[in-house]
Amino acid sequence: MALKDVLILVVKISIVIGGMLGVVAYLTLMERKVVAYIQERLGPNRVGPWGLLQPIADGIKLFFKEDVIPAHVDKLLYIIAPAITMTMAVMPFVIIPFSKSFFLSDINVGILLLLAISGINTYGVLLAGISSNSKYSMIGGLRVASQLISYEVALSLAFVGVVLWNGSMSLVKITEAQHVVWNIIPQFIGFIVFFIAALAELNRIPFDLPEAEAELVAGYHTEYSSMKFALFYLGEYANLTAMSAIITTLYLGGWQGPWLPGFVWFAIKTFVVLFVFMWIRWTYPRFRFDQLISVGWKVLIPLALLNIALTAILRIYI
Amino acid sequence: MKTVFYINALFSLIFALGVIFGKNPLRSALSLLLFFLTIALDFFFAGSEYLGFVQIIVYAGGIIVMIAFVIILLGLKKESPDYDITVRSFTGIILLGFFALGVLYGLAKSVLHLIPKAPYFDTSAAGIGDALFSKYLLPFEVASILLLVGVVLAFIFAKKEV
Repeated sequence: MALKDVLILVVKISIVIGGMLGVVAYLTLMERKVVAYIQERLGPNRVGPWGLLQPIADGIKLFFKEDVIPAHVDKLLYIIAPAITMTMAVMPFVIIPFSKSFFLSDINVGILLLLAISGINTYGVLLAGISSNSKYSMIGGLRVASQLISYEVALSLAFVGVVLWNGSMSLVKITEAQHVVWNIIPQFIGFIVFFIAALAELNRIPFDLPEAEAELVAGYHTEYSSMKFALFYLGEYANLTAMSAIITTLYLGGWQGPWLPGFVWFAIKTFVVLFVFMWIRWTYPRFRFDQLISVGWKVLIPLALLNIALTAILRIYI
Repeated sequence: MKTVFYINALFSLIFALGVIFGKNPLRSALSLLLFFLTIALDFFFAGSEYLGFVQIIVYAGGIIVMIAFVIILLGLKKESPDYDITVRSFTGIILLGFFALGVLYGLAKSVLHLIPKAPYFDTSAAGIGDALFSKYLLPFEVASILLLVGVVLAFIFAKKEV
């Protein structure tokens, strides 16, 4: 690989990571604005015009807070946990095609990479829960572990439907295969399963049991403060962005669309999905934990299996 | 490429030893996790992305989480070993290590070339799928039935009354 190629790759990676972190920072503002309008309030509007400088103010505030490490924590794991969460949240962008020619890498088992990342992602929250030396964190961590394991099954089964339908595990090829009809139409059951499982993977309402503030204070990140807390918070939004981008790529045709350039289409679709996630969060109440587990195992997994069978039959006869 | 492999092998050894000698069960489990990740790296170096990712998904994403779960539920305790490492036992271990190295070297010299090279096998997703559903269909199905039996048995053991 020549030096020029390496430089181009480095620039590309910086664009993706920088852009992603910018989007993630402003997602916090978007979420607060969306909830404000849903609840007929104004939301943050003091810092900058329309509150646009609020994320920067929040960031500076968090940087200057005291970084408390509680007594008797397992220090190594306590410090590593937020780092795992944040890195694993950024990782999926390695293989997501943002437009016809702009993507960092196209590996032919891309979907497996996504599953592997979400597998490792579990450790961030699990380790945070275990190492914090706090009952709330511990219960939060345990809940996360069981929730992620249960819903990863449904998630991967939904992936299988997409892979069967498009005949490839590479996200670039899956996007290209959707130029006639988006996957959301032939894979509708799979899409519903994937969306619900994604909600659960992201620990968002109605599935945010791991950090249910009414019973667990803040779940696994109760004991974290300052920038370590911010890493969890940003990691959550980075996961949200990544999941929206994955849904866009797998089910909504990725960068494809008429007139506008591919990148714009990709951004529009991703933000629509993000908005739906926020809309759901501020509309629905929280499930009970047993309801959450039984929805995962008794409803989503059978539906996903049905979807695989139907997809296989459709593939043979169409 | 060979150097990278040896560095990776060194790390796998370190993590594997960490599993055995770690005093904190959770740390041991995490060493095991890192060990599995280095094995996945081995698969990547051998040119099989598919097997590498499957290794991560199954072992890192599933099994180690389960192990961590069990450790948490049983209570985290630092285990103190029931032996002391004295000067005498340390010398013994070192000597034994040299002896083992010598034996391994002799074995490598004498019998290693007799082992045939592994035949080429298509380790892409398509290749493995093809092999599983044609040539190795029977063992594959037997294994899946075995796993199913295991799941059912686990349910029976876990439930007080069925």
